[in-house]
Amino acid sequence: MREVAIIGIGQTRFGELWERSLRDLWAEAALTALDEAKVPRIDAVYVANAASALLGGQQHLGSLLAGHIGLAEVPATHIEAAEASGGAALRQAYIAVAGGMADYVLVGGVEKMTDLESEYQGYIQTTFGDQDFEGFNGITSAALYAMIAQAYLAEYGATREQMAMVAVQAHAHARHNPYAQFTNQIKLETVTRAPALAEPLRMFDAAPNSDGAAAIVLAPADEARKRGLPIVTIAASAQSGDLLALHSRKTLTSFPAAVRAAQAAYKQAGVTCSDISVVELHDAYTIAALLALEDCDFFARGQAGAAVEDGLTAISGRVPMNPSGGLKAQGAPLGAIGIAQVVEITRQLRGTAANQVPNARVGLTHNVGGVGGTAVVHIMKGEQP
Amino acid sequence: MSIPTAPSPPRYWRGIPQHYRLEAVKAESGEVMFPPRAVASDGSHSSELYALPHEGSLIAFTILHEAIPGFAVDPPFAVGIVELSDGTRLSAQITGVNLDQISIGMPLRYAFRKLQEDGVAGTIIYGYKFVPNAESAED
Repeated sequence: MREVAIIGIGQTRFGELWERSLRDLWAEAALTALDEAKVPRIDAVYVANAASALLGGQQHLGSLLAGHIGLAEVPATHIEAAEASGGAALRQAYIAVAGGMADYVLVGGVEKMTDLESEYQGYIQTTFGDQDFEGFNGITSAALYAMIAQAYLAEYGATREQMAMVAVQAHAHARHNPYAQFTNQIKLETVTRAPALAEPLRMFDAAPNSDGAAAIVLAPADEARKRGLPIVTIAASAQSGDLLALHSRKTLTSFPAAVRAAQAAYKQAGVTCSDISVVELHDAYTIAALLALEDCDFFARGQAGAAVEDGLTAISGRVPMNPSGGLKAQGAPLGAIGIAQVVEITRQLRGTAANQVPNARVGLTHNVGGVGGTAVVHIMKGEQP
Repeated sequence: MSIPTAPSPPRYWRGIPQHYRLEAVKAESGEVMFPPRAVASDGSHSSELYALPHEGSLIAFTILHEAIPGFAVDPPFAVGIVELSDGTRLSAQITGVNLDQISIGMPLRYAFRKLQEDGVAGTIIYGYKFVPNAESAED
């Protein structure tokens, strides 16, 4: 296995980008990453996208999007794993370079959500669950996360306000992020008094629907080092799965797939959670961030809510969480989420992030599909020449 | 653009054993699988049909204020995870009770109900919901 480096990154602004198409978004992110990487050729393209067939009536994205940026003849493949499509695609790209089948790989995620009427957006997320046994009965993604939140609050005595603090912190972190959908600041009451979605979750507990794209170029690390610039290497790429329907699992207050992926990633990278300087975690709903903090071992079971409330996940805290603003405030273009997380960690490890964690050396990303049917964890390390 | 949110007629018909009769599959190991799976957790292949009990209790629920288009009841309505008397869990709408009287642990029983109207090709979609189990509550 070869060591793999990230040598180019690109990202569009996330948000309701009515004037821009799927192709426009992809091209901006991909060409930015390729421009930075300056590689002699691209050997493979992976496209992460969660729902283009439903959102825009378009499939075969490998061919479409590679062709759109002058790479029509390059092997190009679409990877789908719901909101974990980005993490899963990056993992396939990593495997291609680490295994020696390819030297230079472009992996990008893109989603164009706003072309579909908003009443159907909830249905899109429902397709990430067990459609015949959850969606059939009217059970939405918000309903599943609401039941997880209810179980978590009851089991650990965590408070509604602690959960809401996740959203308040997300907006605070996104304040200076030029790519963020929401840079406005919100108060605790903004979250707790917002219109109800699925009790106890309200509108400001949920990540928004977003358009956007993010892209990365990978290369063998030995080659990247010859450039004499600071580099970021992928120290671990781990993925695990679980039964799709939430009711099939023994626990509601943890995603076992995320626990398995995080443990495997720590082992691969030869680090523990205390070595991690900065994290981008999958906060599809506020409750999801609390599960993520515990599933990745940063806090003991039931302690994540108090940790957020006490500022331990702020930029100056012990576990700086989602300096980009995360899914909640930077935005959540489904297929682009997992790639954007790694793009932000790369900026952090280069020391060029808008909301920079001082002296960030090792970063972790945690990307979840549905309610934990897929979980992907990556660990990156920064390296000076 | 709008997209169909209800199953096509053949997909709906194929699901009738599960959605009308709560038909699960039991593996050699004794594991009951709902939805039915081809291979059990211990790796055993089994297709032995197993009729789930119709009574259970509520282990998690939420009141939905935004629903998918096409459902027969308008929000707010309740959905939950029900643990049946044999320990098998499933997801369902909870009905026949005021929303503010739903609580964790309440006894429930199966009810055959209309789920969606005006589905693909005008199908009306029926399936299971769960309602308070008055008999059990009086015990």
